[in-house]
Amino acid sequence: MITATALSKHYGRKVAVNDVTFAVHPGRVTGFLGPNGAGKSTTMRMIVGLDRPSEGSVTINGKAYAQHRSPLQEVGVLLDAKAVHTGRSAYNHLLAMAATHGIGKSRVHEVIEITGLGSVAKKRVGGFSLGMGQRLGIASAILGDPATLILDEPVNGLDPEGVLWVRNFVRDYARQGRTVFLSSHLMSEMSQTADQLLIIGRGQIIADAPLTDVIASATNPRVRVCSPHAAQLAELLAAPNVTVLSSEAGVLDITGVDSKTIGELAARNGLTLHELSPQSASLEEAYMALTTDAVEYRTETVR
Amino acid sequence: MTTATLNPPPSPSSQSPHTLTFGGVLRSEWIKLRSTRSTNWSYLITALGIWGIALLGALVIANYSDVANLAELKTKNLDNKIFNDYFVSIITGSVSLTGLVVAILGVLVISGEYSTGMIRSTLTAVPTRTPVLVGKAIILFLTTYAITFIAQLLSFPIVAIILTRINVTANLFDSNIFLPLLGCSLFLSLTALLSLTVGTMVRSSAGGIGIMMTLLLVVPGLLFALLPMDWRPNITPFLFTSAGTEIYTRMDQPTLSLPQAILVTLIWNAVTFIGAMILLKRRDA
Ligand SMILES: Nc1ncnc2c1ncn2[C@@H]1O[C@H](COP(=O)(O)OP(=O)(O)OP(=O)(O)O)[C@@H](O)[C@H]1O
Ligand SMILES: [Mg+2]
Repeated sequence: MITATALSKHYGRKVAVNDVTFAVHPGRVTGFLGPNGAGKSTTMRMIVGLDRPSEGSVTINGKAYAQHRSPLQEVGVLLDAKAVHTGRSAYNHLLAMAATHGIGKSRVHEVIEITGLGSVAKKRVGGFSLGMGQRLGIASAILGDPATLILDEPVNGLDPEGVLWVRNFVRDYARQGRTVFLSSHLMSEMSQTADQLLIIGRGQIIADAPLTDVIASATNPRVRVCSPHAAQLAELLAAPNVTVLSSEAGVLDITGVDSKTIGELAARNGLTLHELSPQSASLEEAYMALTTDAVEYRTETVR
Repeated sequence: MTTATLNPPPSPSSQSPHTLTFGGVLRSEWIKLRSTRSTNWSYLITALGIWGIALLGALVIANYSDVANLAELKTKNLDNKIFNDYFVSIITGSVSLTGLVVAILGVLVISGEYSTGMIRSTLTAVPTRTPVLVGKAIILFLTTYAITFIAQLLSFPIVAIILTRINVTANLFDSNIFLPLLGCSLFLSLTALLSLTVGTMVRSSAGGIGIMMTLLLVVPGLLFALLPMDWRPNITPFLFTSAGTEIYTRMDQPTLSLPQAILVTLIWNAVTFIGAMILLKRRDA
């Protein structure tokens, strides 16, 4: 369990994280979502004591990270930036990390196998591809078989097999009752991995809720109707809290009424329907809706 | 290359009692030191430098010494002092070169971690931070001491064989030889240590190496040129290089006693060590 209390971080006059309070619970995967520069990596660095909070505090299972007697068994962390000496082999890197905690060679070989680094373990890290570097980062993170796993954009640079593996790995990890906290830019990826979402924008928490709630609250459920009598149906549906949009002839996107009411109304009036389908909003849409006001670096629309 | 296959995660092993210990940090720093190319190269160059310059020095003396002069020296050679000094100056002749090599090495040991990002891994494994610097310092000091001292010991027989041709002999275990060689390795190790702490403060290879080169090469000459004559005796002996040199060369009229010379180099190290420790503890990694 990770507990942040009134946590802030300033870099000079730049406020990277602004008074955030949240908890990341064991037994589920918590996704940490936010636009570029929102403060995700900064928050993660503060959790493991690499950056000192300007204000507030953060603890892991009740203690500051540095106060744990066995930090690598408590938390495994993968940071967004490279954190390995390029002149050393993957094997020696892991061996050096393991040595601090008296973790043996057999565990080093084990994590090399788990992450599929076997064929390159004795090569210098400097020559690694992005994906191999990422696998090495994950190998370091799980070296101590930690109770809490913190991964900053773990699927960055991984091939589809690697992405799938990370997804299954973290879900398994959480199912074993451990804490998993991961950030990602891939919203679709998050929707398949996370149980809980923590959304951050401009250093502040925008949402902290189960995945399904976030999707439901951020966008109104929409119903798509295809009918040769579209215009008639639209007239019948007209009400103050109902919006009907028509993107093409014969197709209506209706919000404010559920599909059951629409179907019954059509039947009563003898209107033919070719399609009547509730549209569940994607995480992408929910996320965009939530963060439109909180985007740090907005892509300028080309005029 | 076969495609890397990721295996399913094993179920969690029952939490075995691995804890962070200082012994573990020492072992980790030793693994890091010996598994870095720059380190291995630096030590190789150091050893080759010690042997090469000892060989060269011995050959020059053996071939160009005035034999008549030597015979005269021999009569004044009480306790073999003059010949012992020959040996020491030949074997330690490379210090100005090897001092630079170990200085660069000392800086790289820490600045390499900052430039590659490794420091973040290091400090997550050892979040209290202090043991990292202490561990690095101990490993760097001991390794540098061992390698430079062994290299000097090995160069002794080479020098001795060459100098027997002009009948200049000495006993390695004579305290006038053995102690200066111990002192020379001490100076080289303390140079590496000073560089480590300077490197920790500036966190950059170029910056750290620049400062150390300035301190070792430029400052002594600069002070000699700029200081008023009557100030020199009050300042020059306390430079890191001057005090360090006095550890292994016993002059007829030393400005500092041996313990004083050692103390001065230790004070230099203590000051930068404390500075490095405070900054390492305080700063974001
Ligand atoms: N060391 C630093 N010095 C100065 N500013 C920093 C530093 N680290 C982060 N920042 C700033 O703090 C803000 C938050 O950065 P952070 O890296 O935490 O964002 P992020 O959510 O991880 O973004 P991304 O999705 O791009 O990885 C950014 O505006 C960034 O420029
Ligand atoms: Mg980031």
